[in-house]
Amino acid sequence: MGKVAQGDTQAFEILVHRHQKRILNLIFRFIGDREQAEDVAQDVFVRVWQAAKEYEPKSKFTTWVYRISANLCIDLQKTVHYKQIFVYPHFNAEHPNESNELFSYSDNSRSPEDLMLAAEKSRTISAAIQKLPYNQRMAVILKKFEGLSYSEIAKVLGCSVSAVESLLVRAKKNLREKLLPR
Amino acid sequence: MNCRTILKMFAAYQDGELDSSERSRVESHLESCLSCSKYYAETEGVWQALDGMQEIEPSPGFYRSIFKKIHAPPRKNHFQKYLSWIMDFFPAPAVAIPVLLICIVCGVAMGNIIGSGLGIEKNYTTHSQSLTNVNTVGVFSPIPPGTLGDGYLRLAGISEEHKK
Ligand SMILES: [Zn+2]
Repeated sequence: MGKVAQGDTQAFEILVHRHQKRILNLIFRFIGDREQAEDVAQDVFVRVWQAAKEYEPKSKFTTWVYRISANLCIDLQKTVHYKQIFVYPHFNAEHPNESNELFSYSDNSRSPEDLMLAAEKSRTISAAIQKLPYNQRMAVILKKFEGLSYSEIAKVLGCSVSAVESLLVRAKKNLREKLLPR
Repeated sequence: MNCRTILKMFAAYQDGELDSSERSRVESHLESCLSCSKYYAETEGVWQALDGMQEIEPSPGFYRSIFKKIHAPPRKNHFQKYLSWIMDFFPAPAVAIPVLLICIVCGVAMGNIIGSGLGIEKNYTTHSQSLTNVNTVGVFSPIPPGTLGDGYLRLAGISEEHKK
């Protein structure tokens, strides 16, 4: 990171390759749109490049990048209404049997039918996550997919550990209501 | 410990954020309370189901796009566009200042030429004269006699008179 701060483009390229997939997926899970996620993820690395001199080595690099990503994601969602591309007309209380597939899918078989089912399942989860309020959504993503502790999430979101806990209590309750077959 | 308190602790329990004493309290409650243990099992099922969200891969041109964005000129808002247009017109303050001075001098000169061309008589007193004349209201006028503003007012006055 020190080399990046000095303007070393090769070091920057290595840094991008090391973290691109993680950051892209973090943003994709938050926004739900592949193209937009790629655009925002690129903006995150542009910020990293521009703010490299401000980075303090005493804080974890990933925490710093997560904070940049979270800020960009939340700011964008506040100002821009992203076109919802994942719409699930059949995922509601009227068709509870279809949502049951969410819990019966097995990863071992990879027939075309299974692949379609997996994609459908993924979209259903994505839609449920996207319905969460911004902070709850980011807390869920950082906990579930990035495996951060409550204190690390608190650093990323700039709030207290108890605030993170209450965010996750509410988020899990909301996800339960949206995803659990009734 | 009642069910309501336990329900609030589920998230932290699931995420391994409770200390050992809190954890054992939740576990003993789960062993004895059927509704809470059912609720927890369902919550756990939903949380595990999130693993089913597929990952995506960055496009092959991901880094190249970042590089382009870094080296692209920054996006301008309307004010910045307008400002840059003006700055293009006046490339440097060193040029802008003389241009501004020339404009002022030309304006004064043009005012005098137009004024004399229309035959405006200089029937107003000079500034020093007006100071000595108590009857002259123009002493405290916001537009002192002999200035460019005064000239314009007089021009306007004459054109009004011509209309009459
Ligand atoms: Zn109970």
